[in-house]
Amino acid sequence: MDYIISMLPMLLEGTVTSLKLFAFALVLSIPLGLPVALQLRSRFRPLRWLANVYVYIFRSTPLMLQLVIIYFGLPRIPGIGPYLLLDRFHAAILAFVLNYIAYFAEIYRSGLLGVNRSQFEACQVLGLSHWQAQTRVIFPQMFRICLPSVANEVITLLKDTSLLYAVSVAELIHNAEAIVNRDANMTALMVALVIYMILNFFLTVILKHLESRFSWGKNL
Amino acid sequence: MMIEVANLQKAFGSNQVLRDISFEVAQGDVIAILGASGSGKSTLLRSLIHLETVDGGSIAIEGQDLVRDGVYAGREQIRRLTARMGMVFQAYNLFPNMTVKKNLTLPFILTGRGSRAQAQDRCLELLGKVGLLDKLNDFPASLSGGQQQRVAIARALMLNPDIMLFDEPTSALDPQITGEVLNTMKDLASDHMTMLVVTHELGFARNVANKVIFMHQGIIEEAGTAEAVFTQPQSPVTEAFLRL
Ligand SMILES: Nc1ncnc2c1ncn2[C@@H]1O[C@H](COP(=O)(O)OP(=O)(O)O)[C@@H](O)[C@H]1O
Ligand SMILES: [Mg+2]
Repeated sequence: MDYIISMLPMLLEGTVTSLKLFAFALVLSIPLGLPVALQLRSRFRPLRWLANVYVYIFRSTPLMLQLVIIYFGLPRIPGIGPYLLLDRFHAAILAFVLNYIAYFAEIYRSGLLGVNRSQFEACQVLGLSHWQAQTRVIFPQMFRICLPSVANEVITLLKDTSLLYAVSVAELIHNAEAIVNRDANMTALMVALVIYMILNFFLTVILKHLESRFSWGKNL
Repeated sequence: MMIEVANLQKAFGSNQVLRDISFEVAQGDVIAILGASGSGKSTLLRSLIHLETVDGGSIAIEGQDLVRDGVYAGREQIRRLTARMGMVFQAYNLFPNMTVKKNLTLPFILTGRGSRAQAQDRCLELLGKVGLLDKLNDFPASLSGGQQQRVAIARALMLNPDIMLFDEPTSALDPQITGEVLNTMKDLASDHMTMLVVTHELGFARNVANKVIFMHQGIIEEAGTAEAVFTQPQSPVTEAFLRL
């Protein structure tokens, strides 16, 4: 027990780093997925095409690879490369945000399909502008439809923060493994596992609460 | 004239849905639009409030052109003219993400009709009128179909329209509860609201409407006072439909 307590400061420090990445990635990608989702359905062909290519690239390749390329690869582009040198943590935020925007955009796109077209007509005959209709009527309903899928991604995101390991940022797994190597003892990884489970427990509770808050009188 | 429609044409692809529709609506008219499914009733109603764009013909609201000979007025004029009409849909189309109160007050506020307090007062007044004051803070999903439709009527009335369009307002309802919605509409008629009602409720058409338009394959097969159309239909098609 004393052994576990002695390793906690280092593990918690790693946890804070993981949570920081989690928070930044979430706060940026959840809203930014929406404009991309709208471009996926844009009437302007080149925009729609661009958005689809973007989503395709980031969804069809491993996040780990994206992370490594952004950190190690971008600075090597001749000419502009030196300006693209990010520190590890910021490179990670960039990779995570770009990756999760693609996922959320795709989820939102299908959510938009689930909102009844007639809702738009109701807005129109009530004199709402296109923007008012979107923000007050369409997006909230889309978000409600997407919530379970979004919740899934949020939980995956928390676990994905362990990919920071690939660029040697001192996140939870990185620190746990340092302890394992130092002491030739697996306990630290077990403790890391428990920490993930505890974090995800709270996350799940919050997400469930959100779902019921957005039930709008329906029994779910 | 409240509404003047002349030579209206509308096709979806090769399907000519409105062929040559002309009629007039006077202030306070309650016009029942009858006809078989697919005869173009919804398309006609939706064209009046610019949910569909027509290919040819004219629509004028109180003497002002919405479209003349197939050429539409400017965006601002369209907005101003369609704002004088309210529309009630078969599927109610309430906003499920808002309470009844919000459904009524939000469009009022967003379209700049008045303050939050005015919206609130008017909301209470209209919900009282349709007998649903106690549902103020409920979400649409927890209401019955008939209640939802009455809320939808109140929501349209919030914006103080001169003309109300109804597209089969009771067709999605169980027969036992169509009465509550029809009564609300009857009240509206006795308040001299100008109404165009697409309906299969022949009783309502006969007893509440003063005029009847019978549509068949994209044309007005027969039009006249409710009394005349029901007692002495001129067209055999109309007669066959009413006998059904
Ligand atoms: N958005 C649309 N696209 C293509 N065809 C349509 C559309 N809306 C209606 N129609 C067609 O137009 C015809 C008339 O439809 P509608 O006006 O809804 O008739 P009604 O309301 O009398 O049943 C039908 O043949 C229908 O299939
Ligand atoms: Mg119809």
